[in-house]
Amino acid sequence: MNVKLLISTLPLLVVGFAAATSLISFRYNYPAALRKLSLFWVFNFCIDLSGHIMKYFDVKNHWLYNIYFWLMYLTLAYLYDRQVKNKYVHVGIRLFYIVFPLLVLAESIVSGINKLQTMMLVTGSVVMIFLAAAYFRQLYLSEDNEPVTRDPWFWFSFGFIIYFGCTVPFLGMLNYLWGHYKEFTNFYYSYFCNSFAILLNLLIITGFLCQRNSQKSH
Amino acid sequence: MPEKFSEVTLILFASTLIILLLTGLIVVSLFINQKRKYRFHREKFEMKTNFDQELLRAHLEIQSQAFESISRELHDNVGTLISIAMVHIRSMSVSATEIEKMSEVDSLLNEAMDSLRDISRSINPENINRLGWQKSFMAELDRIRKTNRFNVHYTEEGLTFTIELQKQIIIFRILQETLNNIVKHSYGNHIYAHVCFLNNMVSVTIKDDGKGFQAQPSDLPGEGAGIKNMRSRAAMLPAVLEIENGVESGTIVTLSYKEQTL
Repeated sequence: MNVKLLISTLPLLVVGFAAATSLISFRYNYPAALRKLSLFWVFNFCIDLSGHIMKYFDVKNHWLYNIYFWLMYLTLAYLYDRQVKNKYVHVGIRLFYIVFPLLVLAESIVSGINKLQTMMLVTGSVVMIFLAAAYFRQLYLSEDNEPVTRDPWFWFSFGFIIYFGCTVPFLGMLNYLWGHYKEFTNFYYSYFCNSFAILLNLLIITGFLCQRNSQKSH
Repeated sequence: MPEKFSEVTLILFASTLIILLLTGLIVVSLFINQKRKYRFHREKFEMKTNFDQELLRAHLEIQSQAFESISRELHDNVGTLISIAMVHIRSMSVSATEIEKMSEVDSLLNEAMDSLRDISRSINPENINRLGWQKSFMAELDRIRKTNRFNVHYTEEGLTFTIELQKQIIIFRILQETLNNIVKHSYGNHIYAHVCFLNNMVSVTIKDDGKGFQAQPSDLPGEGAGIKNMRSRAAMLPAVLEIENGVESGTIVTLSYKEQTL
């Protein structure tokens, strides 16, 4: 097995491990939001696996990731809607439900579905950073004396801020970079984006494993 | 490796670094804030505990003063009245048929005087200070024994040690309330009291063979005011108060207090 293949496969293994770990939410009857996220992470693993197989056989997989990102942003927004108890955030999420599909539709018409939709990626990632930050603000202002390290959503938000924050500048320029600096794009994607994906999944695993009173997070 | 280290790559690395730093800053501030919140809650809890203890201390102080005043009143006023009554009776010249009645009245007054003295002694905090909690407790057991309603068994083991006077009063009041409960509610025949001193710890177990009582968790309103007071006093020491209720086989009350050493 060559090093390049190993580097590109490692994040997939970690996603698989995170998806498998998340299934404990069903075994220990975690709150519904965690069980839904667990199901989504299993779906995430299936998509990633399919993407890797397609890449292995030199089949263009951007359309698959486009669909995956649409679903991911909407699912995470839906889950944060139940976690963040702030009416402005709820209004923002409702607005996102309307604007985001319109944006996706517009970008699909303009750029097509086979090309990675960077506008959609940037918008979705920025909204996710905003939602994770809103959750951090909620934790900051909370009167709850429970350690934040026992709150799964603290770990998830931490992971999302790092992952989306650090990959959004790159993914936003991906089509441009791919056209102009192909080798660098490959290098950055393999080492940096994959590292952030691994970090996100490690934080997801931590979130699912940390103990938290099930009454606190719905 | 990149073909060219352009502005784009610089922007990418810089933005990634800035975002990482910002995230780190947010998480660190969250942890610091949580630590501050935790400290604030702990201080609030300590303040509330101290306030409750002060309140209870004041309550006990008032109670103690009331007891002292009642004790003094019983001894000085009622006691004197009974003594005068006894002197009058003894000085009366009565016929031979009434002598028997007079001597009966005299013995009843004597008994009343003894009881009065015992009650006065048992409620007087100064007496507890003078005798110590253990002797006061034994005197209380003696008082119950004299009623002939109970067979009282007292045992002790270990070497006694000195306890702060204020705490001795609290210990004695808890034991006194336990004995009062037994006398009033147990309908038993025996009281077993065992005092054990071990390594700066004293454990007093009082057991009866009465009918027991319906156990209630301490925070339920159904629990008697007496038991609530006992628990509050125990918390003030602080000591551990255990009440084991064996329905039909009596009740076991254990008070364990560890004297704090520097």
